[in-house]
Amino acid sequence: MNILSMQKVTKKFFGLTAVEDVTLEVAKGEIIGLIGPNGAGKTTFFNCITGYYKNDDGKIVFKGQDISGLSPHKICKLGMARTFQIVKSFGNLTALENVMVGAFNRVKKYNEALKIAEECIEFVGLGPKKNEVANDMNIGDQRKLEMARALATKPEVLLLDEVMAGLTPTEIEGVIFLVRKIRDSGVTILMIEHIMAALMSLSDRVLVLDRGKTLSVGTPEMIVSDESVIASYLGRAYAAV
Amino acid sequence: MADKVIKKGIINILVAVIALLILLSPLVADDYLLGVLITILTSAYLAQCWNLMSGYAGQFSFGHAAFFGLGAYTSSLLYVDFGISPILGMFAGAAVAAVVGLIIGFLSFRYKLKGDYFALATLAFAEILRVLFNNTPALKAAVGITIPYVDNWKVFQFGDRKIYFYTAFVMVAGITYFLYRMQKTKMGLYFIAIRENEDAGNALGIDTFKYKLIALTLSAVLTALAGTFYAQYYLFIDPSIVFNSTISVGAIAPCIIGGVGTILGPVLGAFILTPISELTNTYFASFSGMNMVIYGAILISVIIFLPNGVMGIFNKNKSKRKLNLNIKLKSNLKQIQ
Repeated sequence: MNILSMQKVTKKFFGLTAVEDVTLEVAKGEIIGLIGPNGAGKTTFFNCITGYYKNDDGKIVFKGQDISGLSPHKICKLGMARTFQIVKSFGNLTALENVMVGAFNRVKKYNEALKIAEECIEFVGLGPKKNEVANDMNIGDQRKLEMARALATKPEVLLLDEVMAGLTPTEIEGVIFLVRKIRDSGVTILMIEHIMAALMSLSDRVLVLDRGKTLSVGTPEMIVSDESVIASYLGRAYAAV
Repeated sequence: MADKVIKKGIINILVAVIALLILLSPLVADDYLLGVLITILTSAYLAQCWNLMSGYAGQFSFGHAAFFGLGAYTSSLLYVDFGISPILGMFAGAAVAAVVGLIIGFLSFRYKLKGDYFALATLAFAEILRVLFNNTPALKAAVGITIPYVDNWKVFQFGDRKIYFYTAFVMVAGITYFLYRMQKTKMGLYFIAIRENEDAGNALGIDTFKYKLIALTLSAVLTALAGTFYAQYYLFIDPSIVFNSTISVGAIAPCIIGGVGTILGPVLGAFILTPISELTNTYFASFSGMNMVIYGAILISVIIFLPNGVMGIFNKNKSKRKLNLNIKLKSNLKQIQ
């Protein structure tokens, strides 16, 4: 059985249909890439899955349970975590405390949370900076911090919303490595990304959205040679890759 | 790292010494000075109550007079009308404040009131209670309640001001220690997370609605205790005193002066503000209102020059690098494009 299944998910904002009839089955251990032009509904789709928006139509089934309409913290408890397109750090807390907030999702005691937090912060490579205040960290580190925080909640599915945006090429390489490492630890990943080289190399399958609708679903090889995707998003230059 | 440990040790010793000095002060203080000290301590206590909910959990309240008044009225009415000792009445007051706090919180948070809007809602609730108590004969209306003086510890009355002083001291020490311990718990960290970024907290499994309600209710309960203390100390209350917005402001001002969301800031703030208002009251007695002008001027200067309160002087080097961060972000974006 698939760990996550979206069936004909639709979200409308008054007259505008931001997500329309999007269907996607996600198998355990997969990395799914999500691409599309600006305003295609990628983040809205993420917000529906994680409970920030209630979908108007369709079903979202996570581990056999319909989660549409559940609040975000309940969905997190069930085992789904996310990062945000615009980083939302707890600015005046240290990196370690930031991650501890996530760790408290599974444990009650301070010391247990501290232990999980230290593991997660080490995992994303922020170990030496664990006592820095989040506000003082650069954007790359803050994105890694968000991932560490999400991992500390012990998710089975992780949704990454443009974790590479605004990073230097070296930092991007680090994140690619990190995403693989997270998947290898048994976490299923959905990721929105505009950096094609990174996304195509990571994803097992790619979902292309355009104006709220599914334009195409398939392996990266299929996507880059799909005429409709090239026309609406990738452009001619990329098609050669 | 070693620097930090030493710094922390020095602070701990300093706090202990100052606390000891305050504790011993009744031995030398005259009645007037003792009265001022009690005012300082009650002000510090109220400020800590506000600090719990607004400083730590980030839910700004302009209406703490509501809980203060409910505490004062519940214990006083129970004592005057039914002869129940305010020692018990204190907890009844806390229970009433808890229920009202839950109602205010449920309504406000259910309809997602945040920031200024939530603060205005709490102000409105406090005003509703003031008007209600002012106009309800069963609650003694505007006449207020005069508590008969009997000087018996069993009804929370002490002939000696020193006892009031020590009671207030224990209250302040207790709530300050509670806040200190709270920082190292799941609840404390959740409160701060909600203050820093509620959406992110929600994504990490925090039931923000529940934890905001806990913060408000806890703060309401503790504030009500101060209300009972006030009633038993002054032996007279009426709605325009205990439900007055000056009580709410009195809970906020020491926090702003000392440092919102810090452990010692509100206590420090109370030790700065109360003597100032006492001195201006004494020296400008002939210019009525002058004390408020000076008080206001001090508040404004602190907000301008010390936006993080007096405690902010000690916790520098935060958020200085925001500008650098923005520059870095922009240069990163350029590279990628």
